[in-house]
Amino acid sequence: MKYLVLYSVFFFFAFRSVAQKPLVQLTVEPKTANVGDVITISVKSNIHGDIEVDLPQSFTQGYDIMNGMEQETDYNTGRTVTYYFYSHTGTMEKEGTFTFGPAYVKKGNKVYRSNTVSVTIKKEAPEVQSDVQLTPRQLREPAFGIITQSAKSIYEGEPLVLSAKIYTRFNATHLENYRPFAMDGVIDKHDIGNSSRILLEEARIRGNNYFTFDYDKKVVFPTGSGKQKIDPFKLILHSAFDAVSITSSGASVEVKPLPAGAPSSFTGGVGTFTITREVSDTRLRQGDVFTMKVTISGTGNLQNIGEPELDLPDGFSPYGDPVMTEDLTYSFKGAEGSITFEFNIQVNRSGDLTFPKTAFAYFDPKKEKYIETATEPMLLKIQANPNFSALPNAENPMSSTLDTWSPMREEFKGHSSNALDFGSPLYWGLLGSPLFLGLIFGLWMRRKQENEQVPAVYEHPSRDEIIAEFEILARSHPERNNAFYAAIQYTLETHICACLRLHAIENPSNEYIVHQLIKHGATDTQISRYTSLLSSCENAQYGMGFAAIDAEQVLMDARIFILELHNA
Amino acid sequence: MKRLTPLLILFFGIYANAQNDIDEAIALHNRREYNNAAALFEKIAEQNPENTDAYFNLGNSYRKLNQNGNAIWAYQKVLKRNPSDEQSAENIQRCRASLGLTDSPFQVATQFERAIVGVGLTTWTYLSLFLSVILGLCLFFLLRKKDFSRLPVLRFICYATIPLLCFTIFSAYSLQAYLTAKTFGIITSKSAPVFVNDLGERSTLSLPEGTMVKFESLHKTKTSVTLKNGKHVLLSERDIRWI
Repeated sequence: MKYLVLYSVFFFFAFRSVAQKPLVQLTVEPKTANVGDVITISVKSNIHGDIEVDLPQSFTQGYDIMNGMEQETDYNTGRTVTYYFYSHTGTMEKEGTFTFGPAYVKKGNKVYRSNTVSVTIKKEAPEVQSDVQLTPRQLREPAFGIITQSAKSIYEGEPLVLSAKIYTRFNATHLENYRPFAMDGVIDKHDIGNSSRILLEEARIRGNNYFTFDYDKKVVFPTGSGKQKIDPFKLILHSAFDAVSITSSGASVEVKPLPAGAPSSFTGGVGTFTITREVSDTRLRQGDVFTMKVTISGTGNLQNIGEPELDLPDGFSPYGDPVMTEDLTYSFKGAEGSITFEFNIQVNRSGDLTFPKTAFAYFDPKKEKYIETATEPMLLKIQANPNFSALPNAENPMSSTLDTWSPMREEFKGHSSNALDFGSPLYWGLLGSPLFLGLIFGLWMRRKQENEQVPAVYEHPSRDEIIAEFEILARSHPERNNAFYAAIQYTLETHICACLRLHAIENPSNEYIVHQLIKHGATDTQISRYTSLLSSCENAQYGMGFAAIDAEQVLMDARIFILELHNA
Repeated sequence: MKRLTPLLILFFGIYANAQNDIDEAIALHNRREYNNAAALFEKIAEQNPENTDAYFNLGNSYRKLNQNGNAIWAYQKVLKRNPSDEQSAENIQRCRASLGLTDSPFQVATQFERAIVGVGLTTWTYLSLFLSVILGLCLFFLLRKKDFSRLPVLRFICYATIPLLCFTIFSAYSLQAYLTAKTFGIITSKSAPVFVNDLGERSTLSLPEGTMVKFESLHKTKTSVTLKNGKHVLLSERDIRWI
């Protein structure tokens, strides 16, 4: 019996120590919000069961619900843990401080409860509307848009909340092709409390009733100072199957530079912050490396705060780069939460050493001045270590700074995206144009050259040469046969062409010659004489002796005809 | 010269503006404003995708922010455009070691892509334009004379330029496809849940930051990717940054 009790007790404690501890964790984001802003409630648990969350009465649950599970492995223990997730969104209707939770996970007869989360809901900050007055034209439109902004003038680094506000005369159902408002110099922007649905409210402007809704609410952190323009947004608003295109009016904001005289511990923080510090151990041995966590909490441009400078006295040396951990959410107040810098520091001396305070300065835009806060100094008790010998360079070679092994590259290389891009119409145009032009101009040049080649003109003989030619013709054909008449015919044709200064063509037809004679003003008598000569020659050649032709007469007539034509 | 002056002013204006941005981003980094530096480097890299130095510096800023997944992505962007950048390859190894990743990542570029990427897309583009001008001139001189036999040198240049022009266009096209294709990605969130289906139902698995994945197909709300071990998984697009 005694052993049974002992075994029972042993197994009870053994199981209890090995068993997984139940975890039910409730998170609500953001912890500060406006009335109507979207709030996300998430429950994470390693127990699979029914999840219920105690919510304030003024909380209206939204439609975005998500659940699931995932497994995480603890690499130290090798144990795999399954976590179940549940999250949903909603909005708060009233202002005040509300407690969310606890969340309950019911499994069988057991109920596990979570932590509670306190959330501050504020009345929506008064919006400063764009300085562009509503024009009568805008008011006549079925729908129009303006950009709302949380302030008209801010300091550099201070958050600015912008949103698109749309006024419609009809019941809008959905929108598309939204092109957001844009602001030069803003690279740091975050969505806040945006709903995926259009939540219409009623408004009255200059006696007219409108539906209105906010869209694309963003917190932005402008850089640079001066008046900065906010370019309008565009969208297409639908009411069932009807659509209206909207282009909003623009806006501007004055970004003031931070005043001069920033303390040396200022690392760019604009907002309201506190600093805390903790060390892993205050009792150390000489040569030990201890971890110091410096946490900066608050609201403002927390995400842009640089690491605070540590004032390391003799006997302390940094051990590698600090590791930065962010735990922040974005709300209309800017980045809210904390940022932790984890420094590893080696102690090289022994004795009671005082580690000085760590100072942190920030600019408070409401008070419009720099405020410096600091942690308390702390005492470290260091035990002497005779085996310890400090390194000449105490910095750990293993964790040399990133800048040492990877220096920044300072020279600009590359080209603007406006340059000629491969595949663009401009590229294909430039590629094709030399080929096209080469082809076109080449062919054009060839054609031009061909046209410029003037055909030869019949030589224009003198009167004596004509007479001589006819004498040669008479002598060369003593038999007065067909060849003689053909030679007369050829001589007639060539001399007429020469007299009329026609271009040389092979075998000009009789019709062509008659046509040219008429064209050059030959008389009817001349034309009939020519045709008569031709018919005589052809009859002599092809008439087979039926017609009596006087060869000498034909030769003489031909010579007279040509000489007359030559003289004319 | 008068006509060229506005063009020169525009070119040097763009160049000076980009150099100013680089200087400002480096100053932000040196002032330990890593968030702002990273955002500005992102902007510069977006505007000048061929500027590998902006991606390299972006990787350094992300490394400082302890965002190793994003840092690996930025260094991979450098390697994609300059596969011989040993410093980026080393930095990837360091980031992967910080994340406890031991498996070897995918090889982003093929041998051919590694060969053509060294020349650069701009060079291939302008080379093809130059060759088209040469070919255009050859065509002009050849066509204006009927008798080609009198111009053997021109004929040779013309015949040699045609395949060269085709090759440069093909190289530029391949390189552009390689540079714009979203083939490989890096998990940049701390833990990317693996989904069972397109409806958002999660599986019990999740992929660690810095894991390299290969694009498979795009579903309605999720993206199908392949892991180095050949497994196909569904991930949310917001957990991945494509190289």
